[in-house]
Order: sequence, then structure tokens, then C-alpha cells
Amino acid sequence: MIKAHNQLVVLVLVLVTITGLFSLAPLHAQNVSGPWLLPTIPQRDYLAGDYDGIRTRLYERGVDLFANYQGEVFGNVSGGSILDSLGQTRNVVSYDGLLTFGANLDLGKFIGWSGAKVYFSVLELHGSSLTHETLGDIAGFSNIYGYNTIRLGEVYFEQDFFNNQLRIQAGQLLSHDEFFGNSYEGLFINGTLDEFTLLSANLPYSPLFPMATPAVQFDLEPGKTFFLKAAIFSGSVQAQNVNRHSVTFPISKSSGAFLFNEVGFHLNSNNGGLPGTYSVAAFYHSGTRANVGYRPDVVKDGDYGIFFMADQMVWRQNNEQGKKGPALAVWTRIGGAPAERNLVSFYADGGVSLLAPLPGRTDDVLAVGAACSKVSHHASQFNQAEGGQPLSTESVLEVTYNLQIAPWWQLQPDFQYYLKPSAGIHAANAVVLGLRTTITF
Amino acid sequence: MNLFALKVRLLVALSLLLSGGVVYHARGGVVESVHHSDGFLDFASALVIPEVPDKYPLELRSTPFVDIVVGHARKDQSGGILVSGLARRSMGCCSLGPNMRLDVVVRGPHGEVLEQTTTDCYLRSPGHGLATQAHFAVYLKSVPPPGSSVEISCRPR
Repeated sequence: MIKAHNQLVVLVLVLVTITGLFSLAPLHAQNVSGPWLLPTIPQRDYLAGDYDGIRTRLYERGVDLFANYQGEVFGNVSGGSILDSLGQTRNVVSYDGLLTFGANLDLGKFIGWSGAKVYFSVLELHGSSLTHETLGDIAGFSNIYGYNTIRLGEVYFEQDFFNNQLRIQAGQLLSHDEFFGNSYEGLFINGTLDEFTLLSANLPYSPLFPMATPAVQFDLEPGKTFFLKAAIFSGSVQAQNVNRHSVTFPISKSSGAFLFNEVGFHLNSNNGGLPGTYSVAAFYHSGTRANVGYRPDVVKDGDYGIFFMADQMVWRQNNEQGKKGPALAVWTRIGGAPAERNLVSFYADGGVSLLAPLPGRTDDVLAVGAACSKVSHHASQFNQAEGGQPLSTESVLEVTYNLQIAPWWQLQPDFQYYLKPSAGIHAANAVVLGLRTTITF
Repeated sequence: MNLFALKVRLLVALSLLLSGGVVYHARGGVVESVHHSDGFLDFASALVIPEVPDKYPLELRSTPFVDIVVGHARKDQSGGILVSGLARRSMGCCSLGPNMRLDVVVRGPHGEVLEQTTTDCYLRSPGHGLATQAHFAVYLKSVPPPGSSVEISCRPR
């Protein structure tokens, strides 16, 4: 069985090689100047085109449809913290995918209500998880894996005021889509380089993907330089396998509320200089944390965390106006949460992104990121008391290349290296290889 | 006939049907209307038949905020010119919110501005790892004369 799995990992590598061949295809079909090994990929907007004209006709009336599929195959070549019956690490290959579809309704075009939008999305999640089968990691090898089901995604009403300087959203929202991200982390596949463990591990039942939650959110951006974001979410988010389709909307006074805040500023947002964003953010959960505390004698109301985020483009090749070119950017996030109430007490990540890394590949991105999740000593003591090993820090390095084959198709070979997955001091370091494909219909 | 042979024959029949569809759509030629079929069969045919260039030269202008990934300027059945395409937030762009404005400028053969029009564009990522992008479509008021070009760009509102 293990041999077969290894063969599948080799298959992944073959797919990555094929990916390289595809990169020979030019971005714009009309620029073809010679024969190519592989057929030219159609450079249309969407794989399904204009739905025979329906997409454009609906758009004119204010209805913008979207549908995307993401599928990925991942395998661990070595390591992991979940052992087999012989006490050996297991090599596993997994496939998982996510279909996202929905619509954005522009009420301005639809009924003449200026500045108002209605948005909804539906998620279909399927596949298996390396995290559950072999890695046992805190970070999560993928940011799209979830409980296999069809569920309601975000559904909200949005209204902007004062020439788009203030936006208010109300409905069922995800926190990460507007908070805690930066301009470059969206490329990474590993979970913590997207929704970091300071949130995902410490607030397991929180408004993070894929559990959208009743909420109200405010975005204030006067002058396009400074910004302030604030949101209040229902504090009674249920587990993915309990609220299986996200069609119950739990709000209870006893469960409290999640408060998310972020304040910061954009650098060079208006003057053509190298853009950057710097911010400080915090979360607070007003519900009691006694049931997830790591010291039975300590019962606390509320939980919180605070962190700093920055991203900055540091170099960009000068091009003629309106043409994209290579650029280099760096980013980081650093934060902490009370050790007696949280699994991860300190978190830091950072990375480098190289845009347009190869000549003629203006939409490709090469990215390297690393993250460290320090497990609290309370959690470590608790784990030992339960018969487990001491816990320290889980670190992960990710190298990924986003290959934009066509406007509707991305291929993304990915390499991840875990130091002490699960943070157990005896856990075997793990090498993970994978390939993600993203198709826009 | 055993079950295996039956399955093989069904597979061959299905392949022939699909091949016929590909050949039919490959005869399409220049796209003159938005009401054309450019779905999966066209996708298959395009693997062997290069796409036809757009009728009007397009200048897709990236700004520090938004890239115009692909654009089209096509004559509609009504005779009007439909400018459509895909706008995507630039990697590294400051997160200035989803509300954008798309500008279309038509320049004549000598560079003079013949027409300017704008439309709203709502750039929103549907999920993790998915590009922050949106479809756009806007009609021009008049048909540009031969030799004209169409510039498309997008900026925060």
C-alpha cells in the first residue's frame, strides 16, 4: 500500500513537470509566433465562456454570476505525527476539492438603489485530508479542505456611503475575507499562511472558512489612506459537522459575540510609489472559555488576541505606463494570545512574493512563506497529563508557484516542509508535495 | 453481445457525437455577436483552432490597483459595440474595498478621443485562493471608425 502511495506522489511530480511544459504557452493567443509542443490554451475569460450570451445580458441588469472549482492532490513524502499500528509514519496521498458558486446583485442596476449590493455564495466541499490521516498538524495543509458537504457560504447586503468611504455589510459573513489578511498571503495553500493558527487553532468554532456567521461589519476608508474595520459576529458558531449546511443561524446571548477590529494605513496608495499596508488588529470573544481552558482551575470569561501585520512591495521594474512587470514584495504577521486560554500563545509568519518571475509570464507568482505557531506551556502540560508528549512549536515552510495558464485556469505546484507537525517534540518532520488546479467557469 | 462490448460501442458513439459537435463549432469563424456559443464545445475546438483576434485593437491598461486580464470589443447583433472582459485586482494592491470604476476610452486613428464611458465594477474574491475579479460589460454609443483603438482601465471609486 505504501509503495502505491509513493507512486502516486511520483505522479504528482510528473504533473508538476507537465505544468512546466504548459508554461511555454503564451498568455495571449494572438501573440503566438511559432509552433508549440502543446496546443494553445484558449485565452477566454471563463472556461464556460459567456453562457451563450446569458452572462453579459444578466450583467447589464446587475446580476454577476460566478462559479469556481478548486481541486488539489497532496501527498506526504515523509514524516507526520499520526503513526500506524507499528509506530511508523504513513505516506498518504489525498484529493480534496471545493466548488464555489453564487451571484452578486448590483441593486443600482437592478432597481436603481445606488450603492447597494446583495451577495451570496454556496460551497461544495469534498475529499480527504492529510491533516487528519497522517500529518496531525495545527496549521492545516490546505486552506480549502473542510467537512464534506454542501453549505451556504456568505449571504449579505452591502451599502456604501459618502462616495464609497464607508461600507456596511450585514448578513452571514466570514471574518477572514475582510480581516487579518494581506495583499500577498492569498496565494498560499497552507492553512496558517491564510487563516493563521492564532485564530483557527484558538477559536475552533469561529467565523472562519467555511462557517459563515450572522454579523454586521463596518469599513471606513476616508481618503484611501487610513482605514478602520470593525465587525461583530455571532459567538455561537457551531462545528462544521453540526451545522452541516450552514442553514441554521445560531445567535444566543450566553455564547456571546466575536468582535474583530483592524486599524491601519496604506502607503503610496495614490502616488504610484511602491504600495504597502500596515495595520494592528485584535479579536475578542465575549463568551466563557472555561470549556476549552488548559488549566481546569482557571475559568475565564472572554478570550482575545492582538497582532501586527505589514506588507510592502520593495522593488518593481519600471515599465511603460499601463504594462505589468516583475516586482518583489515582503509581508509579515506577528501576534499573541493568553497562554492559559489558548493552544497557540505566540504566532509569527512572513514571506516573499516575486510577481512575474519569468519573461512573458506577467500573471505568474513565485512565493515563499514560513510560519511558526508556539503552543502554550499550559497546553503542553495538559497534553502530558493526558499521556501525550510535550508540545513546543510547529513550523512550516511553503514554496509555491502560481501558474496562470489562461484567465480561467491556474495550476499551482506546491512544496511544504513541516518542522514538528502537531508541535510534538517527537513528531517526525514532514515533506508534503501537491498540485492545485483552479478553474473559473 | 457481452456487457463490455456494449460499453465500448457506447463510448465510441459518444466520442463521435462529441467530435461532431467540435467540428460544427469549429466552423464558427469571426465572432460577430455576443449571442454566440463559446462554451465547452468551443473550448474543445479551440484546442485545435486558434482563436480569432478581436476586431478592434484593444489597449488593456493595468493600474496599481486593477489589471484588465482580458478584454473584447465585438459587434453585437444590434450593431452596437460591446466592450467586455475580466478585471482582476493587482497582486499587492492595497485592499481598498471592492467598489471600482471601469473606464473605456475610444481613440480614433489619429489618437483623438472619440468616446469615453465608465461603469461600476465590484471586485470580490469568492473564496480562498480565488482571484479577486469581476466580469465587466459596457456598450459604446457609436461604432468606432476603422483604425480606432479601445483603452480599458479600472480604478478605485
